[in-house]
Amino acid sequence: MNGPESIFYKLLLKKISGTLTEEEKWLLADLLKAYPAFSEAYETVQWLWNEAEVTSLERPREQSNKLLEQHLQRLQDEGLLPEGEEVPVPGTAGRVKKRRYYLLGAGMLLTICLAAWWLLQRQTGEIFIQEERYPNMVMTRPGSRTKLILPDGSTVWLNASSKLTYGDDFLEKERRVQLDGEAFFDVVKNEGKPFIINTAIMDVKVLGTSLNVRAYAGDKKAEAVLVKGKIDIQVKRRPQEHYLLSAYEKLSVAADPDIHPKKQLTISNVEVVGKDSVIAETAWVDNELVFTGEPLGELAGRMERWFDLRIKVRGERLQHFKMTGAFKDESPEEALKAISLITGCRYQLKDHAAVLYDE
Amino acid sequence: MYNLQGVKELYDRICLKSDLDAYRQLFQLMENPLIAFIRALVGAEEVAEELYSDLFVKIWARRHALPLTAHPRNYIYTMARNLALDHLKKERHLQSIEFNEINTLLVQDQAPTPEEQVISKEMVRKIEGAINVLPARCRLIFKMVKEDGFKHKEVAALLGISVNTVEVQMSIALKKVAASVKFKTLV
Repeated sequence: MNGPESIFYKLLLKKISGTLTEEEKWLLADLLKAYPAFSEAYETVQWLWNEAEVTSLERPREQSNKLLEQHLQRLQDEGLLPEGEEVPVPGTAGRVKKRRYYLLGAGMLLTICLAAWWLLQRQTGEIFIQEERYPNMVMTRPGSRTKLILPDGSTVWLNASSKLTYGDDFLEKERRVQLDGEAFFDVVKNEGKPFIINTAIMDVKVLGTSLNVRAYAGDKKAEAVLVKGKIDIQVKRRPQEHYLLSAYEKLSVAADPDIHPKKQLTISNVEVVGKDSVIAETAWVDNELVFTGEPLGELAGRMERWFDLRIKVRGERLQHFKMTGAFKDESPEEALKAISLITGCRYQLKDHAAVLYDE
Repeated sequence: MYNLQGVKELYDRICLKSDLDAYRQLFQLMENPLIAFIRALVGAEEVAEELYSDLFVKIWARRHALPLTAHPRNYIYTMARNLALDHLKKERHLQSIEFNEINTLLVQDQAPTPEEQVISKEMVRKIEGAINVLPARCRLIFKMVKEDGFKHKEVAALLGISVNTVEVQMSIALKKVAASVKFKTLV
């Protein structure tokens, strides 16, 4: 194709790319004079190039944040992040740790920010309301635990390999957090603003209480244990039912929906151990891993997170061996030795990986 | 349009200072256009996301060995292109690139007030429609030139085609766009 139209588009393309030579400029002008029909095309393309913006449909913000988060986790898993580097996450996360140091100065700063925000909001109307809300996120690595204070004053102890997120609208209508992993909550009373914990399997609604929620993705079951107060639990699989829990009761939900109905969901009283009324489920808050009649197969999962180890339990007998006891200052080696003494099995430990096996 | 200066600054901070914050910013800055680019080559969004993550693992792992080029964006796109081709060879035993659909392109008049707009909303919609029904390869080339601001030479190198092909495809795109609003003179 070498007609005037094709020459015209070649020149037009050069024009918008800024590569038109002096000679070609005249040629283009001549063409436009000779063929008035081209002038409309010329104007449309000029408009598109100079006055219009072409943008791709953006990927949803949640998808973007998730991708970055997974990516940073991957870097960490592959040992590419420098030692001591927190997993940085979008939004205000990564700053969460600093927040504790600056807590004293925060009060005044917050007042200033609020005043500035109020002034700005008055001027710009609803712009602020439409803005994306970034989630705040705190993550713990295997083998480490952390404590944080939420904006409402509630305290959360986050166990190993866990993730807690909450939006910037926390405290607006209700206090809502998302949990993947295990956390102990000491919730400040505020009747008007229920405290809601969303997990993959269940939602827990509280008014003011202390409770422990364990809901690790990939675990066989999710649990909520209440220490004081009252909570209302809704299991996502059974949306029409509510479970009310009283102090020292535990609700346990199987992750696998296909398990026998009778084994799917249980409410039981938790055992209080010793004179200090220690509850196995919440002892981790005091840096103690306590277990009562727990099958070794399940305990191994908790030990993996506790000690940052990979533990394989070989054989049915060992998997179901019921363990009772506690670890506090024990090293991984000492803990494994204790297990081998109690169960009569052997163990091997090498580079953060352990195997328990019968001979 | 791409913030090329921004890409260059972040890239340098990553290479010279191992700046993790710059790395995070670059990851988010390039995510939309680069995942769109990779997806145009490999087809599926999930695969594109994975390859994008692979790409950034490489960038971080090799940050001390990356070339301090004046055009880091081209370098990063080339890395992405190679990862996509490796993937295609491994997964589908393909030796050449097939072009897949990219996301819808949106056209917006940048004129600040309605009075300054020389073209009606109706016409903008028609132009947008014309762009989005261009054949996959043509639309990708158009996007890379107009939205991402790549030079014809750069598009040709990245897609493994000749500069002439890029220009022919661009002419086709412009012709279709112009034709979409031609009716105006008839009315």
